[in-house]
Amino acid sequence: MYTDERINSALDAMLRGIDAPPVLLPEIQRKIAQPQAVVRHTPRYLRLAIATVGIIAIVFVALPSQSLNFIQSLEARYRAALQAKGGYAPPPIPESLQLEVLKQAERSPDVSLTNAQSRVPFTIVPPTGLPHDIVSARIRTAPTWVYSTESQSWRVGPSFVTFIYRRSGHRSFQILADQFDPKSGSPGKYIFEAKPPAPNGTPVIVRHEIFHWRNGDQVMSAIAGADISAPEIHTIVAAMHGVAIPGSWPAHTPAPGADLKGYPATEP
Amino acid sequence: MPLNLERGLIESAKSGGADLERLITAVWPEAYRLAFSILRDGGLAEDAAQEACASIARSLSALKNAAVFPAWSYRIIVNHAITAARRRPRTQTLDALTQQAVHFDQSDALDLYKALEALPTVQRGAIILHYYAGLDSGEIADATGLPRSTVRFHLMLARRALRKALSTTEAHTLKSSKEALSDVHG
Repeated sequence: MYTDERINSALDAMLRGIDAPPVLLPEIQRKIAQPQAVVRHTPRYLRLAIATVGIIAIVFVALPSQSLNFIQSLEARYRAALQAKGGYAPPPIPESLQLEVLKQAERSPDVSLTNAQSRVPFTIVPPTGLPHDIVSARIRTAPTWVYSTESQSWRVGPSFVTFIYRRSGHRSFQILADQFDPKSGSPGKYIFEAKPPAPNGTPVIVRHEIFHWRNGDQVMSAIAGADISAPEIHTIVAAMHGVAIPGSWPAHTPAPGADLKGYPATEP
Repeated sequence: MPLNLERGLIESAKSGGADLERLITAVWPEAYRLAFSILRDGGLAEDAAQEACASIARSLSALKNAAVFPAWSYRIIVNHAITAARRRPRTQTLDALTQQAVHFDQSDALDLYKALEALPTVQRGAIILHYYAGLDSGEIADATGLPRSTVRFHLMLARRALRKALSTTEAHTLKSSKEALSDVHG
């Protein structure tokens, strides 16, 4: 039986068996002298905007460490990115409503499935068929922002649910669950990540595919990328016996009377 | 911990110059070995170790207690290696693969090397920080930015995988020895 001591000893022997090349002091000196970029750790979701009509309109964050001004500047960047891509973007959310929802989202702790169910107006069907390397799962709820194309105004809407998963390799992904609205129309097929502009000022926009599926009166959405692949999302949809909702591109202008939704994203 | 350098050297290196070069030269082999054990790529390990040494040199003046230098350095080195692993290209050239020659005096070390190979990068880093650098799960959590419970979980999975891999090899070795003996004795 191998004990911790044996692992320790083997690890020590293993490292001693690795020959290090000669140290290149000039190269290290050069790296010491290099100016250090100030790294601002922002969750991936912070930089995501969704160009779509109907089910999901905008995503931005509710993080205690982020000021409202910062969120507003991001939101403005999203809007520019959406419009640059020909997508429809509703007008900005009034500051008072932004604060109201963000404060609620910040205060919202992780909840149990039962607790989450008591907060939302639809029947939650939790994700199944998840990747095998999930290391933790959390559930959070937060209110939405709803934009009425009829009254052309924003209001605070009913809550939605976020399933937050961490998996191997420092990866994490989220699955959003909300009430299905048949009036919403076809959701967008892509989401656009507005990156900081290039040095010459050119806007940098990265496209990601977003998938939507329905179970009863619940609609779920997940973004494919490095943290969860499109085939893995398809596996989840199949395991849940969900009905895939095909996304459209280019996104259509919303039908008269349709509501658009904004979601405060949760810290991954 | 092999990075137990003289406190006098650590203090004098804060002023830079020749003492800083001596300190970097002393740290370098360990930095490279740790980076290589995580990255399994000579070129990437060299680059990550250089970055780690530069980072150590830049931050040294902020280190209040020279006694914690080994653990502090290990954290920096492992973090740079994990960052490099995340950025690494998904494909490797033949040259990169052939540069990965290592030699071991103990069969345990070779078994462990192979077993570590199969672990995800984070678990590999956690195992090295725990067993080699002597950090506990809280210190690893601080070093890697992962929640403590996640670190404990990674350590548990990694430990389980290593024990299983090493036990399998041990059982195989015992079986081979018995077969060899039966051959000898007819």
